[in-house]
Amino acid sequence: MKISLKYAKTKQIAEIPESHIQEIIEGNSVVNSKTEEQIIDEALANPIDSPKISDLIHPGEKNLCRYS
Amino acid sequence: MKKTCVVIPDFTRTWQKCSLYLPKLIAQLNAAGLEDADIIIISATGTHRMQTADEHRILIGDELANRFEILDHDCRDNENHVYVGTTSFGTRVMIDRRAMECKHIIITGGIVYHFLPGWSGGKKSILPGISSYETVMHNHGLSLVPEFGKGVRPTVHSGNIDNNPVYQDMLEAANFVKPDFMFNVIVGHEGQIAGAVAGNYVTAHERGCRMVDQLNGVKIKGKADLVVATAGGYPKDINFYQSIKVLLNAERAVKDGGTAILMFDCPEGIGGDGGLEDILTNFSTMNDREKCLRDAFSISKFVGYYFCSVETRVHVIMVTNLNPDTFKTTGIILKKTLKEAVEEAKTFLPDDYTANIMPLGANTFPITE
Repeated sequence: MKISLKYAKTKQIAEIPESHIQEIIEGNSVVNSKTEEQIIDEALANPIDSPKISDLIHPGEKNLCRYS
Repeated sequence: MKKTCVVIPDFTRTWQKCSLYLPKLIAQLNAAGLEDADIIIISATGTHRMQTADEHRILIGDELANRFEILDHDCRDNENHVYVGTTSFGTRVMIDRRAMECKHIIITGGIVYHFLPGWSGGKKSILPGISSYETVMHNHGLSLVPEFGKGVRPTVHSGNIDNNPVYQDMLEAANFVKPDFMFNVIVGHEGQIAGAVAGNYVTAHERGCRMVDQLNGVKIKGKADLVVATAGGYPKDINFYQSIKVLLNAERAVKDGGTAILMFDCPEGIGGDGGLEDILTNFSTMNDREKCLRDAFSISKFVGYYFCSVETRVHVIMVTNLNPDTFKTTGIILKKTLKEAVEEAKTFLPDDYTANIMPLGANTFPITE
């Protein structure tokens, strides 16, 4: 069978008999209807095992250096 | 002074689209009551070079560039690191003082398969991100078997953290620092942000790694005698350094003693730093290359070393426009066309050979049961 693969800005073709082909390893098709902006906003709004940024930062608190 | 430090990737990681997510993250800090003056942004250069103002601007976008000065982490500025602890692997962890002087540290970046810690992102913002040169070298050196001549540890590879000392050491370093918050993106085949995780730098990162698995991990029937893998054309095949991904994925789909045809044009040549070309060209045995790598570890050298080490297990034929002189001592065969490469491969293959084809070789990570 004819194998056509992307290369540079074009394609390259070679012949490999079908009987030899074990598998054509395709990428996973991922359906994502969300925009990049929505993805970022949702992640920030739903932090995992952590308070949200708004609950993490308390501007009034006394500064403690992270090391001594 | 009460400051919050936001650690962002460097210019070599613009694919993570920091300029898209950082304004949102900074806006949340502002909304929580922080002035811009309460926030510092450090670019996690690891051991990379300092960056230009133009690069900073591209990295974070015009709006933020007008409000903030980005501080580049300088791994060789020993005066400006603080000691935070020594890991169980003996790595003395020295961290950028400017980050450690802040009340809060927020780390940001992106997650992809990575050939040292299994997956990038998360803890990697701390080590190598904002660690000293010696700290990074000790950590990356854990990728090699302690006895000279034995090369890379079998547990150090993409998609694995079990018994992976590079990963575990990075995590211990991050645990000394305890970043308060993490934001990481996962990028799809076309370069778009396909997922994001925020929160705890361990568990949110793990969730992100599973997203990478779903996006790029592909269960395959088994290894074959021949694998034909292409980077997927321009710009994924821009240079040889980037093309390591194709090799790392393709080698998982080919039997030991088999043949790998790898296709990457490389219009910008070898890439990486000078160490990559050096280790390919100026040594003729694997032991000499290993010595060079151990003497002063660099990712560029590791990439070259790894390419050559695969060639000792698998016949490697590259379809590329790279200069054949660079590869004279490596055993790697260079061809201009796929047709020529297939003809060459047949001289190594049994008559009844099997073949796996990878049309998206840079983005598909074969998983065998």
